[in-house]
Amino acid sequence: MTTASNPVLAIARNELLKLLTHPFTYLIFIILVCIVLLNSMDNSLRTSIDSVMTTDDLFLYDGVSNTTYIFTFLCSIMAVFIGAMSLSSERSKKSIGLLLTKPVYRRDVIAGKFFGLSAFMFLFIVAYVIVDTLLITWYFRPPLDINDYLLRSLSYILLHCCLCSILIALMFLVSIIFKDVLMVALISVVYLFLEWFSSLLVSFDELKYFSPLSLYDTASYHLLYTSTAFDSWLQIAMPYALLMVLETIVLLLVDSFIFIRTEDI
Amino acid sequence: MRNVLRIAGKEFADLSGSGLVLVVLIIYVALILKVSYDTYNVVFIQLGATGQRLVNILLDGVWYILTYFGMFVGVVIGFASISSERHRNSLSLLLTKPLYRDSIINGKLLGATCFLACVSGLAIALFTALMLAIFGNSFFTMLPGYLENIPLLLALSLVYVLIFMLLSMLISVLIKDQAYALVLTFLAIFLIKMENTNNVAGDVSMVLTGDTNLGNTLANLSPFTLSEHVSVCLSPPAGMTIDPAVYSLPSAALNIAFYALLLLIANYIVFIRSDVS
Repeated sequence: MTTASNPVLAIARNELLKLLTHPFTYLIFIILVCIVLLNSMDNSLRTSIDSVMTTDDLFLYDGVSNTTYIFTFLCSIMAVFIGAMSLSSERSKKSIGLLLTKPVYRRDVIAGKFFGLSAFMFLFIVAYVIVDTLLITWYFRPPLDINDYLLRSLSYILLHCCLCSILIALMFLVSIIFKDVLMVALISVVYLFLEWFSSLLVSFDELKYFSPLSLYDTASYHLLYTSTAFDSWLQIAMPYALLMVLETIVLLLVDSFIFIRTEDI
Repeated sequence: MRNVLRIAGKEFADLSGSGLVLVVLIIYVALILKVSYDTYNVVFIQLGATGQRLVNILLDGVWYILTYFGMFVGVVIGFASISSERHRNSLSLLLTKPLYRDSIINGKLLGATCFLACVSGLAIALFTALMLAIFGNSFFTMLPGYLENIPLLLALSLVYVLIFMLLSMLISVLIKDQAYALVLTFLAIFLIKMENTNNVAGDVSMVLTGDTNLGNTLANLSPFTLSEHVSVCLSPPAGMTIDPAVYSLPSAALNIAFYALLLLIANYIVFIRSDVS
């Protein structure tokens, strides 16, 4: 099945290529590399000075987890921005009208864009993890248990992908409902502010099971602590990870439903 | 001068009627209500503070609302001021009029600052009314002491929020894609946020000098750290003796004003010299 015969793949490929050439991608990645480089260099100095009373592998406990907060935020900002702008910028440039004249189902447009953006985020996260691993290994040392590290890294990547997928689907919904590109950009930034700068969303207990960041935090808790066995972590994290996947699917279904029934695109 | 005032009046009216600003103001009111509820929990239930201690905590609450959440309002006001005109292509039309460019930027800044001052004033009024309703007579008797600090707090918070409003305006003028400009502004603010500055500053310090002294100096440059210093001066944690060499209200105020001035100059340079369209 070639991209020419499958519209979903064609749209996904187009989205992926657009993002791989967008300057924002490289800006975020350069910021991350600089932060990881500084952290790796500092980590190698600090662990030779401090005596750290922990049974956890410092590669993950200190090295990787020190930059996790910034990495998760930058991934979120990236996912929110690309999700919000994917439909909105096409609408403001009037190219969405041209796309919809093609023999493409509207649901395929949503699916194609979602897969393209998610594939991009997957590649971005994998590239970051590889750079992070190489830099910490270079300046500090390799992980003590390679197999355990690979399992935890894969889980780290998949959890971040789940978080980004929810955010992309959520921003699709915002851009379908609001026609003005500036309003969509504002709402995406308001969402980021409420999730990351204020605790307004998590102060409501009921929202803890719907907030993407809360679900991610709960699922990833103790992932980077090797003193917690991987199997034990997986048992606790699995329901939350499945909830994240379910939330993504529900949001995409809602997006498709509204997009199909919207007359004024 | 008349042109500047006309543009300022127009800017104020545009901001008042802007859908973007309205959305953010609704969120701001919700955040004020949340802070009021948290203040009630902390003061009444946990600390049981009364008298001057209560006033200090409430002044700290006012500072928090005006700066930590107010900064977001400032960003959106700065963004709306430039982007809505750019999006409608009316900025180009304005630039064809027989007006000096500095009149336009003066008018926009004046209008946006007046709007921000009004929003801050209303935020203080709302918070004070809620605190009076919650604490009743125990706050009412201390009201004169509380109110005499409010003008200074309002002026200082306005200068602080101006930093973020001017940053937002600067990026909106520099970047043609306005949605991209807003996200970049938010990214810039996140990167200078206190915890990140401390982490990155600590790493830079350890790598360059092998200790954390340079890191502390770098971290103290962040506007968020300066805001924290003002907060400690207003409401020192119980049992803490403030070291005036570290926590100094005049010093923090001067640094905040310096940042605002730098960004103001940058805005002038960019707006007057760049090809804005």
